[in-house]
Amino acid sequence: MKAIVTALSLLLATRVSFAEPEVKTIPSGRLFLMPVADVVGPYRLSLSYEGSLLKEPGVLSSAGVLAVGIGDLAQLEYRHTSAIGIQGQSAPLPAVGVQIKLPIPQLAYLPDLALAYRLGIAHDEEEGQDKVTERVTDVYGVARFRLPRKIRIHLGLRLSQAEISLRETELSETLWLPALGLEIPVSERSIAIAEVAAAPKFSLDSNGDPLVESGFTARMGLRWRVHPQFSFDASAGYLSSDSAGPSEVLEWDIRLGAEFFVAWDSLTCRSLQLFCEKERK
Amino acid sequence: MKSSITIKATLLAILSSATVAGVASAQNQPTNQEVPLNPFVPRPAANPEPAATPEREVQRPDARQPDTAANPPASPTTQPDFPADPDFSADPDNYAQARAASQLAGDESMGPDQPEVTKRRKKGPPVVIKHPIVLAAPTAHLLPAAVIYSSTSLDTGGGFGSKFKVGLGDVGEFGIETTDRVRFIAGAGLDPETIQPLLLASFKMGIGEDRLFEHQPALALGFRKSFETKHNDFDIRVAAIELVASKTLGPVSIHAGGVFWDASLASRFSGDDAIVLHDYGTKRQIRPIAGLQASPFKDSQLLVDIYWVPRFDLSTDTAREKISLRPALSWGVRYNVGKSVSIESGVRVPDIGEANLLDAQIFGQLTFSSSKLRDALGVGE
Repeated sequence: MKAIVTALSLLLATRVSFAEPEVKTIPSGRLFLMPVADVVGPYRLSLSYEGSLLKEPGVLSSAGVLAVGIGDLAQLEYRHTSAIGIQGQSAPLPAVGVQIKLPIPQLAYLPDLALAYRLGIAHDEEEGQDKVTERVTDVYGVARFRLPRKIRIHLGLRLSQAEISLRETELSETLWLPALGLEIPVSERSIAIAEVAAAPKFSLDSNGDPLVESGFTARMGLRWRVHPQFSFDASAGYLSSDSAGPSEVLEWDIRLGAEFFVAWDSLTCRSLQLFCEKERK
Repeated sequence: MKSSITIKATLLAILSSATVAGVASAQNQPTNQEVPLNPFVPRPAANPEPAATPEREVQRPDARQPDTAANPPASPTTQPDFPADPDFSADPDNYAQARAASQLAGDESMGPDQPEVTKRRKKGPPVVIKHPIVLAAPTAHLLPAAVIYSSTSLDTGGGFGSKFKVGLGDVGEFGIETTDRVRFIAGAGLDPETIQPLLLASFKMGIGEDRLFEHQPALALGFRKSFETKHNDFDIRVAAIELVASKTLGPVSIHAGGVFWDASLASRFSGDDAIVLHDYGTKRQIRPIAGLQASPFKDSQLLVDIYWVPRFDLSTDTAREKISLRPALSWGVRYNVGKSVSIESGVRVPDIGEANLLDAQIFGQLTFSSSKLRDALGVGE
C-alpha cells in the first residue's frame, strides 16, 4: 500500500513537473500529410484545404479535410488521403472516416494515441484514352510524443488497402506505410513542420498493366496561426515518381493551404434551433 | 490621449456599478431634469458641470453621484431601486441624444472623444523590415509576418523583373516573381536573349539572427520554381533550392550560401526526351552565392552580389552543354526614400564568365513594403 502511495505521489509529482500549459489555440487534426493524435474538439468543425502551385503546369492538385468534432475524443471526417497517382502526380483520394483519440492521461512520458478508419471512395484518373479507377481504404494509428519546448514528434503507421482497375484488370494490394512528423514552435504564432510519409503509389508496369507499390512524400514548411480560428500553411515538398530522386528539384512543389475552425453548434442553433442547450447552460 | 482613455475607462467601470442602480429608478421619469443613463453624458444645466479643466474629468464621478448633497436625485424615486446590472453599461439612444444636447450647450468635453476609444485599433510596435534580397542573391532575412514587399526593375537591355512577397508568421515568406535573369541562346553566333516572362513562385523559411544563440547568423532555406514557359518552340522549367546565412556586423551585412539548380529544356515538336540538368550530376547543379551590404549613411546602402542562373544554349551540339549555370555579378546602391519605399540602381553583368562588359546592363529598381496587412490582422500587438 505504501509503495502504491509512493508511486502515485511520484506520478503526480512527475505530472506537475513536466506537464506543459495547454496551448490556447484549437488543435488541428493533421500536419501537412499525416494525421496527428488529436481531434478538433466538441461542437467544432474544421475545414482545411491546400493546393499545389507548381507540381505540374496547368494542374492544380489539391487536398482537403472536413472534420466534425464529436465530443473530446472523436471526429468524423471527409478527407483526401495522400497517394501518388498513375501519372506520378499527387492524387488525393477521397475517403470518409472516423478518428478516435484514446483517453490517455497527459503524462510527459506517455504519447497521445489515435486510431482512424477511412473508407476509400473511388477516384478516376485518365491515362491516355483509358480510365483508371483508384481507391484506398486505411486504418491509421498515430502517436504524438511531447518533448520539452513544445516540440512534438509524430509517428504513424498506415495499413492501406490500395485498389486500382484499368481496362479489365483489377489489382488490390495491402501496404504497411510508416510516417514520421516533427513540429517545432518557432515563434509565438508559428510552428515549423517537417514530415516524411510513405504513400500508395499507382503506376503501370512495362506491359502496361497496373501496379501498386509504396512511394514516399516529404514536406517541410510552416503553420502560421493568424487567428485562433484560422491558420495558414505553406510548404515545399517532394513526391517520389518514376525517375525522380530528391535531387530532381523540378519535381518539388510549393503548397499553400488554410484551416478554418467553426463552432458548428452556434450555426445549428441559429439556423435550426438545434444544439442550443450548451448556450443555456 | 492614452491617459484620457484610461481615465474614462476607469470612470466607466466605477460608474456603471455605482450609478446605474440609482439612476435606473429615474429612467421612466419624463421630467426636464431627467438624469441621463450614460455616465459620460453631462448633466443638464440644472446641475452645471465644473469648468473644463483636466481635473474636471476626474471630478466627473462625484458629479454623477445622485445621492450626495451636492447632487441630489433629479427626481424623487418612486420606484424601488434595482440592483445594478453588470451587463448594462449605456443606452446608446439616450447617449446620442444627450451628447447632442451637450454639444448644443457648448460642452464638447465628452462627445467627440468617446467613440474613438472603441474605434481606434491599437497598433503594434514598428516593424523592422530587412530586405530579403541583395540585388539578385537572396539574403537569409525574412519579412515580418504579414508584411508585403514588392519590387519592380527595368534595365537597359529591355529586361523587366518584378517581385511580390509576403511574410508568413515571422519565419517564412511566400512570393511570386517574374525574372529576366534566365537567358537563352537560340543558335550559333546569336546573342543571348532573356526568357520573358518567366514566372516563378518561391517559398522561404528560416530563423533570424541570434535566435538560437548569441552571434548566430540568420539562416534561411528557400525554394523557387518556375511555371512552365514556352520560348522558341521549347518548354522551359527551372527550379532552385537556396541555403543562405546572413550576419550583420555593424553597418555591414554579409550573405553567403549555396544554390542548387535544376532546369529542363523540352522541344515542343520533336519526340526527343527533355534535357534536364540533373542528368549530368549534382556538381553541375551546386554553386555558391554571396552578397555584401554596407551602410555608410543612415538611408544609403552599397550592394554587391554574385548569383548563378541557368542559361539554355542551343549553339552547342552536346546535350550536356545545352543547360549550364552562369555567374552573374551585380553592384549598386539602395536609397531609402521613406519608411516603406526605396530605390535601387546599379549594374548587372549577366555572365562574368565571358568577361563581356558590353553585355552589362544598368538597371533601376523601385521597392515598396507595407505593414498595413500586419496592422489589420493585429499581428505583433
